[in-house]
Amino acid sequence: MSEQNGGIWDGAAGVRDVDFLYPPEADKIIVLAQKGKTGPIKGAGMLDISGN
Amino acid sequence: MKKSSNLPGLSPEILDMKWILLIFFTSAVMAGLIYTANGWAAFSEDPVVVELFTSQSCSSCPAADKVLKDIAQRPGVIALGFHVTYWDHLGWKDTLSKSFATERQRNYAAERSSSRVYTPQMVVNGGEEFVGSDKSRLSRAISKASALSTITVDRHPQKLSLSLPELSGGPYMLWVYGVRGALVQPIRSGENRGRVRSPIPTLL
Repeated sequence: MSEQNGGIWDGAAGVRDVDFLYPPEADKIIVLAQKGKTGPIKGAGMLDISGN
Repeated sequence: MKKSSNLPGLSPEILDMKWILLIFFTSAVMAGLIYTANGWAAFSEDPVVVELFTSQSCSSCPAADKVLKDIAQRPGVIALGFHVTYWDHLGWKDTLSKSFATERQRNYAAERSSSRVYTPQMVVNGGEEFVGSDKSRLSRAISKASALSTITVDRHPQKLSLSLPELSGGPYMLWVYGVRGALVQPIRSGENRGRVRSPIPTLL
């Protein structure tokens, strides 16, 4: 399973470390910031790890 | 008798031509905002998240997979294919199905005070939802989607470092996913047996 709850973020700027076990087949890591479990998405990030 | 131009130095014929060109280019620009050569809405590179709830077992899903595959090529689009589990009772199992995908879709339904889930369903930026094969609806949804804040992701062994911007309206839940872009697997049973489906970015 590759879904991981990265915790609650209060919206303050900063750096957060999140433990994450990469599925070996993954070539991208996606991060979403969402209101509640499935409210509006307000932030997103993507990291391409295909070369690793 | 010819009309005289109110603008100095411009004949009525030149003015008429300018109006024609203005109307032509305005129409072209407006059309370009809605459709490009591929029929997709033109949009900026601000991130937009397009989620597709799909299944190998669903005969309507290959068309939606194609829509997701195509939109995934657009800069700024984060396309995510969630294979749900609730069709797995049909005698065989979607090899990509995940219980967290089903739970996520049910949570979206609950958010709308509904218990109805279906495939293929598309959700844009966690808000607007519609049948996943509806290209024009997706195009409109992306056009009016609010710009998302960008989260910078860095990788360390067993760990991610997230650079989070200032974002009002919190708190927010942070979700992290591992994705395989353009993942396709043979479908050996069910309604789509033997069909070639579009490879889509898939949650692992």
